[in-house]
Amino acid sequence: MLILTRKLNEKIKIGENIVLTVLDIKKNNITIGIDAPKDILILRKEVYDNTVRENLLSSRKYGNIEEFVQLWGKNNKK
Amino acid sequence: MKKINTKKFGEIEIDEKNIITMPKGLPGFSGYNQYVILDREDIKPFCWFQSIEIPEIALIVMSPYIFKNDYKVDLDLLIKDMNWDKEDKEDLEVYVVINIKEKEKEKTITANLLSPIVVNTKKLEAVQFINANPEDRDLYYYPVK
Repeated sequence: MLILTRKLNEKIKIGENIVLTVLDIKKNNITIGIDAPKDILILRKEVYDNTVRENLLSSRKYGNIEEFVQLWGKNNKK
Repeated sequence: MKKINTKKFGEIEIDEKNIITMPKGLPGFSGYNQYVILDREDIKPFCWFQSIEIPEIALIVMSPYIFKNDYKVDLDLLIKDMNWDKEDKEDLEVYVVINIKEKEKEKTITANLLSPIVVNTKKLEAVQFINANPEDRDLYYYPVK
């Protein structure tokens, strides 16, 4: 992993089109501004990871569709 | 018609006109961008979001409006993001990814309301639209009832 130290308002350039700027530094929070082309997906990593996890789990369960149908039926009979 | 392999039903025939491309891919399954929605009477209200390339990739999905009629997706932002036409709005179908979570031996069906899959049935494209600023992380596991 490349590690760089930056001060407030300093920037990091990634490739041709991406620039990160350190906008604010507080004790436990760093605010980063990101300039990048629109087609580049930028997300907090845990947000992306949560989506991946739910997708993978769902795909792993697809053989058990009967269980979903059964649970659904149970809830909707009440 | 095109034959595809599914893990649940083996080889099935699908209409090529129903093949959906995901130009930005599906998170967790990079490299596999072609899907088809399989719905069957006996699994309603669920459907499979089935890869036509890999039989083992098939997410269980459903319409969120069946259990949450005030569910909102920012379709205008999504249309802009995908370079779709504003007129396509009526041709968009929204699905959410479904799971079962077990807590204290009680099983609940849950839906990921923070990353809906939106299908443009006119352009035959789809995207999983990830909410970048989730206010409530429990919405990854919204109970479906």
